Amino acid sequence: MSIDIDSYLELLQAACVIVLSAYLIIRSRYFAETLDKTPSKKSLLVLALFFGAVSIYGSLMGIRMMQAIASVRDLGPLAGGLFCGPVVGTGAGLIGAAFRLSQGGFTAGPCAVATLAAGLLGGLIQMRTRRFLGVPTLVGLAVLFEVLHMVLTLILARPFPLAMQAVEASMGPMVLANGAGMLVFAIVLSNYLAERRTQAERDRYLADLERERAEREVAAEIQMGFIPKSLPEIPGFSMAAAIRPALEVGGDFYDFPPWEIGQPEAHPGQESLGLAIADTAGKGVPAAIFMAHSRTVVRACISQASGPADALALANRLIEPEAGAGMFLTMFLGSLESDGHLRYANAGHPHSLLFRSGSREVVSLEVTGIALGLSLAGRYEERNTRLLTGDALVLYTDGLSEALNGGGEQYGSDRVRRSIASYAHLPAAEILDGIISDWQAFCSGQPQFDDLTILVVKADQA
Amino acid sequence: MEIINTSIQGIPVLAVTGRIDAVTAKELDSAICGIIKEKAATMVLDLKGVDYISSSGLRVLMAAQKSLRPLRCEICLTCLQPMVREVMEATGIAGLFTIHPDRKEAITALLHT
Repeated sequence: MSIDIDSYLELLQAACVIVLSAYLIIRSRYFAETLDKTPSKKSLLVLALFFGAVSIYGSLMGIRMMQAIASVRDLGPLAGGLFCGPVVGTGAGLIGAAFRLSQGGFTAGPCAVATLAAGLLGGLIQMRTRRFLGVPTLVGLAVLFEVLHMVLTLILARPFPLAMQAVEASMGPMVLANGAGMLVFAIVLSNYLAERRTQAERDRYLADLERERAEREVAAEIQMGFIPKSLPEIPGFSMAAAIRPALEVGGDFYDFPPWEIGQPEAHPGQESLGLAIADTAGKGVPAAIFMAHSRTVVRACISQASGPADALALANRLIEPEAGAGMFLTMFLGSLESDGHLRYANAGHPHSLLFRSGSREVVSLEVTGIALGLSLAGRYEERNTRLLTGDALVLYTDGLSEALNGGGEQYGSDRVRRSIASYAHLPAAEILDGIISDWQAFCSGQPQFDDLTILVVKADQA
Repeated sequence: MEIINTSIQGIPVLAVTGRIDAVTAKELDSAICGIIKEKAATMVLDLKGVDYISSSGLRVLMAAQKSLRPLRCEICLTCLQPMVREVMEATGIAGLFTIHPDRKEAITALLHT
């Protein structure tokens, strides 16, 4: 068995043409349409012409192997049928068969029949299976088909002894060449299918990201829609507030609910200002909607209540039945009068601090009941205190105290207290700035997952 | 966060290690819901390895507790670390759960009811 250099080059050339054409057609949009099972008539026509052309190339390019000519004429129609269905397979088969007939020779008839049969058979198999059969199966089918081709030649070609001779000479090379050709097509297709899967996964992932981003925006928009646009003014006090939605928007809010009731007869001539800060459990749109709902309920309850504790108790009874999926919110609710008198009730909101200028101490305004929405059995007590000149009330949410630095260390309420103590002599806006800049210095560069909400009331001249 | 799902004398026990924040709360939620879906039963949540729980985490616990209560089941908590105990007490959530000092006591108490 000897193959000269020219044969090798021919073989290489044929292989290159097959690889390139397989690559080009499988990555064309016509082919993609058949994979999506929505091929247009035009696509089917283009594909049939293409696989037909591969068949013609196979006829023209007889590959000399083992001192015989191996044709890959059947490869195009077979692959076209197996990959794109009976229409493309039959079309390509007809083209290949017509060309082979035009070449003449005593095996022209059997070869033309075999080429048409390749397209038909491939298409029928594709119709039955409707999926990628895998590289080994496809190669196996190509090999089997070439054997069939030989049988056809023996049956149809005359005279028989010549046919026998032709089959003996070309059987090995034909089987090898068509098997190898199918291997190329199958590998290119297999790679392409894997790539499509990866791409589909990536598209899904990107779509998810986009949806999450959109949801975050909606949540932040709902949340910000319920945050007071301006700060109230109450003589003798300065105020400052900040809210910064985090990566995952929660349901923090602060509010200055109108506080017309209370007991005006007890403090005649005093202006009263509502003060509220709240942290809704959970994240995203559900938390934002729950926040909006709760804020409205609390505002409505204030107008019916005798004071902060009563308002929280009423609100809890309305919120609890609506609090699905474990929703709840912690809230500090107070009313501040212009003489510095602060009445408050605290529904599970531990981040409520008061700087006393006299003792220079930061004290906690204790929790006086459980968070809203947890249990109908919630009871709330009221506390009274007085803001004296120089005192500062700082209400915040856990986004401040529970932030982490690069080392995984939590900011903690002690650092918040130290910040407050060191800036408490300043007006409210500067206390707020100081608290935030200390906090930023601690957790610089770390993404913050929780909303940051701070409300500062400074008694400049109570 | 890591969740180890075991069963002691027929009582489901979930042992959690790590921080329960907005992201990991979802995993805890599906772990608890998985148990409830299989069989609504009183379960023990061992929080020995949890040094932080955010409001999202508390919400998951409350949701489970609220869904189990009508079925006369509940979630029992054990081994609360100081921070977790603090936030559960401050919000009042602690009062809505049966809390045992350790896993053994929780199991003993559950087997005797």
